[in-house]
Amino acid sequence: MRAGLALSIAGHLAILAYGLVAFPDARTFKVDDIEAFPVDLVPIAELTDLAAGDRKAEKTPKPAQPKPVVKAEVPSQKPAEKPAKVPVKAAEPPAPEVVAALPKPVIPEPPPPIEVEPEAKTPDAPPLAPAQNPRARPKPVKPVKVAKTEPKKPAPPAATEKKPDRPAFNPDEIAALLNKQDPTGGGDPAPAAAPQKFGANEGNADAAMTQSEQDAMIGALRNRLAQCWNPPRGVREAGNLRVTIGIGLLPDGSLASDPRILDAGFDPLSQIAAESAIRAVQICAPYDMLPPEMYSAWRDIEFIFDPREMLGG
Amino acid sequence: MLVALVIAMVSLTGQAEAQLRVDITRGNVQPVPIAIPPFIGGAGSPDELSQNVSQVITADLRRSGLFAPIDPAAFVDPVAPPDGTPNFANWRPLNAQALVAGRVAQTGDGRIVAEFRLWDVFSGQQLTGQQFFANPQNWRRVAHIIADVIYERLTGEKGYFDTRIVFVDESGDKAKRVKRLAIMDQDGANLRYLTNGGELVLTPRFSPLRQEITYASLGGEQWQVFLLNIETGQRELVGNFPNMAFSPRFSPDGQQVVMSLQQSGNANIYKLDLRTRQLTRLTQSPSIDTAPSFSPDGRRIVFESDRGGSQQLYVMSASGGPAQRITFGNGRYGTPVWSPRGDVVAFTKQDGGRFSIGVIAPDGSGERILTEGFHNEGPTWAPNGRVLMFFRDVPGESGGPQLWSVDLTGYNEQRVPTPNYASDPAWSPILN
Repeated sequence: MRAGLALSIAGHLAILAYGLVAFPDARTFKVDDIEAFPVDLVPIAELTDLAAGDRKAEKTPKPAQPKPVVKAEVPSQKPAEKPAKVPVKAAEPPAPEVVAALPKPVIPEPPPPIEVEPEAKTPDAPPLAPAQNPRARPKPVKPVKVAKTEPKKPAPPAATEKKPDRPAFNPDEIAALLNKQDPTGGGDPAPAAAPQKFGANEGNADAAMTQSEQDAMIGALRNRLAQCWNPPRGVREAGNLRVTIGIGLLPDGSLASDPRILDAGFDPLSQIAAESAIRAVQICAPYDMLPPEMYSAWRDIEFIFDPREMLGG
Repeated sequence: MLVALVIAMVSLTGQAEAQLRVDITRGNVQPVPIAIPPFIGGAGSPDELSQNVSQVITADLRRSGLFAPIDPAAFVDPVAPPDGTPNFANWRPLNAQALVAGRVAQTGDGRIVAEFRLWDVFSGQQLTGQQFFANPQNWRRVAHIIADVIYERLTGEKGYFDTRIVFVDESGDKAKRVKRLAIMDQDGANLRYLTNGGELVLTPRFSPLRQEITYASLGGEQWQVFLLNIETGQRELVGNFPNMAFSPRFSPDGQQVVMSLQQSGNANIYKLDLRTRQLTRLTQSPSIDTAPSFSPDGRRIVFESDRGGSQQLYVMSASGGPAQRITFGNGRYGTPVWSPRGDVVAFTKQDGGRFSIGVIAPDGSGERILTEGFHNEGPTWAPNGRVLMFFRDVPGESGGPQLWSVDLTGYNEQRVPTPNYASDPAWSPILN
C-alpha cells in the first residue's frame, strides 16, 4: 500500500517532470481581452426627432416675442450698404506714342449709397404667426425661457392652469414640459410627459425615420446640389476649399433665411468658394422633394461643400 | 461585426445630434451665367461708347470660357444703372448668377469715367464696385480692366484681359514670307507693327516688368539680340553674336536675359546681365542646349537638350551646374516655358510626326497633353498661368501659322484673330 502510494507519487512526479522537459515552451493559453461595447438599439427617429416636441412648444411663447417673425421677413433685402469702392487707380494707359500719362487724382465720388428700406415690421403679426410660422427654431434653450415666463404672465399662458381639468391630451403642453425638463436636468416636471410623448403619435407624427429614409434624403439633396453648385474653377488651392453652409428650411422646402457660413477659411479664395456654395443652395431652393412628413429631420441642414474630388486639388 | 455596428451607431448619433449633414462633392462645373446689360451713358441711356465698353467686357469674359454672358435679348430690364439696387427678381429667372451694372460718361475735362457694380443676383449682395478715369481713346483698356476685376472677384484668380500679345506677323508667299514683329491687345484689337520686315525676326519675349521685349534678329550676317521699348519704340542692341543666338528670354526680375549661343555644332546656355553686359556660360555640354526659361522665383532654369541622346527637358540651378532630366516620354520635347504660377512647365512635344502642347510639373510628374495636331508650337503663358497661347500650322501650300489659345485644363481651345499668318506669340504681363 505504502509502496503503491509512493510509486504513484513518484510516477506522477515523473510525468510532471517529463512534461516540464518535453514541453518547455508550450504557449500559455492566452485569452484576448475583448473590449465590451455597450450597444443600444435605438430607433433613429429618437435621435433625429428630438426637436419635434419643441417646435410646437414654441408656439405658445411666440406672441410675446415678435423677434423671430421680424427675422423671417428681413432676408429679402439687405444689399448695397457699401458704396462702390473708388480705387485710386485711374486707368490711364500709356498711349503708344507718348510716355504714359500719370494717373490723375481721382475725386472719390462714391455713387450714393443705396438706402436699405426697413421692412415694414408688423408686430401685430404674431397672433397668426405662431400657428403658421414654422421657422420657429426648436432650440431647447428658448423653451426654457418660455417656461419661466409662464408664471409671470397671467394672461395668455393661463391655459396651463386649466389643463388639469381637461381630459383632452394637449401635445403643446407636453412639449413645453419636456423642453423644460431638458435644461433643468430632469427635475420634477410632469412624469406623465415621457410615456405620452412616445405613445402619442400626434405630438411626434414625423418621428419614424429609418436609416434608409435618411440616406434617401441625403441622396436627393446631393443630386439636387450637384446641379446647382458651380465651384470656383482653376483655383490652384481648390483642394483646400472646404466650406460648411447651414440652412434652415420652411415646411414647403423654401429657405427660412439666408444661408449661413458655418465653416470656411478666411482668405479671399475661401470667401469665393463660400459664395459659390451659398449661391448653390439658393439656386437649388425650394427643396420641395423632401418628404413633408419628415420635416423635423430636414428643417436644419448642414451642407459640406468639398471641391477636391471634382477639381483634383 | 459588433464593432462595425457600434461605430455605425456612434457616427449616426453624431450626425443626428447636429442636424442633417450632407457632403457635397459633386457639382456642375460650367461657365458662370452672367448678365451684362449695356452700360448707360452720361445721359442715362446707353450710347455708343458705353455700349462698346460693355461689349468688350462681355467678349473678354466669354472668351475666358469661365463665363456665359446671357443674351441681352432675354433681359427683362434692358439696362441696369449702377446707382441703385437692381431689381433682382427680373434677373433671377434668367439664371444669372452675377449682374454687372455700369455707366461710362464724359467728365468736364475731356476724360471718361467708367463705373460699375458687380452684384450677386441670388443673394442680392454687391460683390465689388469701382470707378475708373481714363482718356477716351483708352476705352478698350478700361473695359479690359473692368473685365479683369469681375474675373478676379468671381473666380479668385487674377485676370489677364488687360494684356498684350507680341508675335511675328507673316505675310506674302510661303516661299518668301515677310516677317514683322507685331503687337496687339490680347483680344486682337489695336494691332500695330514694331519692325518693318527688312530683317528676319524670331522669338520675341516680354519683359516681366516693363513694356519691353527682347528678340533675336538676323540683320545681314550677324545675329543680334535687341531690347525694344514698346511705348517709346526705342530699340537697344544687347549684343552681336557671330554665331546663331536663339530664344533670348528675360529673368523674372528683368535684369538678365538667358539665351543659347551656337558654337561649332553645339549650343550652350548663357546668361547676360543687362546692366553690365556680362555674359556667363551656364552649360558646358557637347550637345545642343537651348530654349532656357526661368522659374518665376528666378532660382531655376528649364531648357531642352539632346545630351541624353534625344531631345528632352532638363532643370538646373539658375547659376548653372548639374541638370536633372524631367521628361522621359516617347518623342522629342522642346520650347519649355515655366508657368508664372510656378507649378508646371509648358512644352512642345514632337512624336510620330505630330506636334502637341503639354504641361509637366517641374519634378517630371503629371505630364498632360493639352492639344495635339499636325503642328503646334511655341507655348506662352497668360500672366495668371491659366491660359496658354501657341501657334498652329496647317498642312498644304496655302497653309500658314495661326495663333491659338487653350486652357490649362485642355478645354476652351480657340483661335486668336490676326490679320495675316502669325507665329511665335509672347504674352505680356498685366499692363498696370
